[in-house]
Amino acid sequence: MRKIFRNLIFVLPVLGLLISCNPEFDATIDELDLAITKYDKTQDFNSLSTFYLYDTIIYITDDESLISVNVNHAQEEHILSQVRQNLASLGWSEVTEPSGGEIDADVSIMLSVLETDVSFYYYYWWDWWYWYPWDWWYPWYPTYPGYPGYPIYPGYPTYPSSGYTVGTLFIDMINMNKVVMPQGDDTSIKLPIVWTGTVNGILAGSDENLAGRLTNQIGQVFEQSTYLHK
Amino acid sequence: MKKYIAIFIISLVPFFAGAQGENSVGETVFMVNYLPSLSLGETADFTSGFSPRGIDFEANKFITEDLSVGFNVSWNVFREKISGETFEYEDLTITGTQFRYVNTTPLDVNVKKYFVMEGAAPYVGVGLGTMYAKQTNEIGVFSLNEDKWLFHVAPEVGIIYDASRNNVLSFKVKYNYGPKAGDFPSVSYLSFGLGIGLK
Repeated sequence: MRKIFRNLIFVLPVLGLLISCNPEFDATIDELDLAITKYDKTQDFNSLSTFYLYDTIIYITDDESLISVNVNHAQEEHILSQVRQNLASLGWSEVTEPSGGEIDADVSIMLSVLETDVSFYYYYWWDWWYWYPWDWWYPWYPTYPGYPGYPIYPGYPTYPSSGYTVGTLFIDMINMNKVVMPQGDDTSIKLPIVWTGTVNGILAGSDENLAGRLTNQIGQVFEQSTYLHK
Repeated sequence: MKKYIAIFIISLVPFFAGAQGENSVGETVFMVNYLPSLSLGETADFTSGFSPRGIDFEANKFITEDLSVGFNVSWNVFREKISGETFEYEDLTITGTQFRYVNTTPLDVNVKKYFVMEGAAPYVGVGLGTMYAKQTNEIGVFSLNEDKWLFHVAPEVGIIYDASRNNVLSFKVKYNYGPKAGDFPSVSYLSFGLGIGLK
């Protein structure tokens, strides 16, 4: 009996450890989708009602060339359409044609996409967020002579090996009434970002599935930003 | 979970036939307890509900026939999945599915007072020490982590049964509390221990 008891005293901890050691939930791909927003709390959004949607999506790369051959462009039209629809449904009016070379809209909407290969290890907020210019002012990027300009993004962190690809869509709202544009000094132009919506998720599944997830998450960034509602 | 509990209880049946011994001064009892727990307070705010994931080890030395001192180390994991909730993190508003986990590892010195009875001895005890606590919120491909060493106090009541001359069984209820430290919330939960031991 003592022998059996001694065996039990070893079996019980093993049993307990087996129960305890695998507490992780299994997540589906769409359960890893995120909608994140940030806004300038000093901005009165009631004073803004018209938007211009810049119809080129910037692909962020680590070499500042703004050109990437690897990213999937299949969702571009869908993304533009969803952003336009959501703003319209919140009561915003779109300005489609610049007048006299300048955009006659309260805000300009800029879209950018980042694709990052990551390992299966989770990475941490501070690894990811530090490089993104979470600032209300973007520096002027003179390579884009067309108005409005767009910033250089710093390189993103490099992660070991590749497990899956994470895609991030940034929707930036620039207050065009507060653009700082010193005459004769293109390097000092500043664009105040008053709202950023970020959609983040793993790039997996069919184009149809991805489109559905983008629809949900783009809708969510606007839905949770109640101050944008007219 | 019921399956594991049933196996455990059935496996103990033969030991109830054993002879009963008495606690001797200087004798040490080594115990292992299965320790499912119920989160309370701010721990329940983060991960609510009953967790089957817990275990502890303890050694208690009798310094008199009805008093023992010893140490205890335990481990509990609480978890909860929260779908589609919007929350604030610093100056960000985030919506997504949250997978929340709380891991606790208390390390205590404990004292137990036994009310000696034939075969079974009810007892009251208290453990004092420290607890490593970690809160994790996994959301998307990100992980928000906070951890802290907290002061730990754990009063408990239980009963220890001499199943045979060298073997004991026990059942206990233990309240665990670690006070708030800085921004880290207080940790509290109620544990139910079902254990076996050697002396």
